Amino acid sequence: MSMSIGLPQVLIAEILFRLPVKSLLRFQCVSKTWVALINDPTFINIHLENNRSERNLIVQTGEVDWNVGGKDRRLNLNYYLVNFSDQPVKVFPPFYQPLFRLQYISSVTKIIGCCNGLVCIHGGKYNKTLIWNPSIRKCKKLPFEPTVHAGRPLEKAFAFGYDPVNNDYKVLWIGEEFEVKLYSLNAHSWRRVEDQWPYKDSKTFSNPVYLKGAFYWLVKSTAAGGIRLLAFNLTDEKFQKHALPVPDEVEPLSFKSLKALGGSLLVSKYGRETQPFLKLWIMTESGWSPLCTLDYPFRQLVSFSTDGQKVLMELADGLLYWYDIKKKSYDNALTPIIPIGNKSWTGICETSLLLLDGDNVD
Amino acid sequence: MSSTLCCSFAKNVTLRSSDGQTFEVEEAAAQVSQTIKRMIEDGCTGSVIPVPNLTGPVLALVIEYFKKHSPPSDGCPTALLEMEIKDWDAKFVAVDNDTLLDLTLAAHYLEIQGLLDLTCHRVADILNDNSVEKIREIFHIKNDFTPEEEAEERSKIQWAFE
Repeated sequence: MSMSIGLPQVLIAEILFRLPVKSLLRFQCVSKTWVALINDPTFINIHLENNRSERNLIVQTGEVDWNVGGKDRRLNLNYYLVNFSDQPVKVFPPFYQPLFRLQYISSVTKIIGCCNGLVCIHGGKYNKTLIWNPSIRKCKKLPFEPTVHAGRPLEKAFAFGYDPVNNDYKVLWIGEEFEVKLYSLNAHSWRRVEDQWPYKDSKTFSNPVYLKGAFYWLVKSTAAGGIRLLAFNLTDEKFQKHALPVPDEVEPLSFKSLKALGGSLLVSKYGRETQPFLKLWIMTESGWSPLCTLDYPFRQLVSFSTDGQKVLMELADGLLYWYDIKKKSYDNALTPIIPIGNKSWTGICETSLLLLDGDNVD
Repeated sequence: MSSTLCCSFAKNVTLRSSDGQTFEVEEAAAQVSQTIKRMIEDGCTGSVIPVPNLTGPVLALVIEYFKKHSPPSDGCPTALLEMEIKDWDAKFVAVDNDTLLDLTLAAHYLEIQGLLDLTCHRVADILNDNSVEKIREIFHIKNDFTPEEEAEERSKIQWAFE
């Protein structure tokens, strides 16, 4: 007779933490106890932490449906998940099939952000915002759909991230006159935040990036005397001003963008000598330090390798390459077969069981 | 730590399984288990250490694991040795399902993190390749769904079965 009759719950969990989300979805059919375990918020959070190395690229592509005549010509947006690792890897099957087709989208539909396997999408024209978990095909539509300030690109108007203290996912929205509202997934409602946008004259600011419980923007403010780094803490819901790598007064317009790659905040500065280059600084515990200088042409930086030695970037050919920072050389990382040429967004998406209680996407 | 420093010769301890079988093993090797390590530190050495949660055959297997994973007497483990241990580990858990689950439980009771990782990984791999029905069989789980409930549960996530 085996001792194993009645394996304790803690050991079942220990085993299930090591399984991919798709298997866990199936295993909800094993028993009611397993359903309860797999749906338990603590289990879901530990599973996420244990599976962070399981990374996917999420790619949004748009194609016009020419079969629909007249003004109502439809744009179909397709979303793809591409599993990748630090090595050149094969592309996994889900790649060939659109994972998700938005029904009510318009040409200004954008991914606002990705966090812990959740993707926040805003469909501009119809003012729909939803949080979607592509790996389990569940989503939640946000109530009260804020409109985008005229002339402000929607990727600047919204930000999506995680409040680790309250274990909550939040969407920030910057409306008319810089009014800031926050949606909480736990409360499933919007409210105005007390601490408001501090630079009322900031006509231009960068796309927000989310990193470790905060949003960051580069903001140009005449009143403040140039470009500033602004942060919003998702837990205390307060804005905070940070220092930039070099005094921006020297070249006030040259700070190109902010990036959150591999758990670090990066600021990039565009420059040109014999050929254009991008200089990167990384925010460390002790402040900003220079990281590397990358030569153009490349379209965008997508991710760091887990050891931080390589950068995944999209080159002009629309393919993704690993660039070794120290060796200054490229490897071919992925050879995508999807029409990546007209894609409008690429980001990193983990796999998680969050939003298991959400609505079905299909 | 102190016990390996003060002894120039291998000191043994005796472990007794739930069914009364006794096994002699080097103290340093047995300390791969955090539970046994604590018992030794608390002064249980000299007498027999009871391991009431493990039957003789399982304890015998765990002792094999101890011996393979005891800290090397001559300095740091080499890369070659690590590879050899990895191969050995893979063979060690290539056993029937009941034995594998017994080893998982043993690793849990005796707090052997390396063995717990190894067995849980192996069980997870097995689960991944099997149907819901087979999983119930492996874990001796009674299906507490009515046929209607199970059909509903399945229909909610039909795509995950494809």
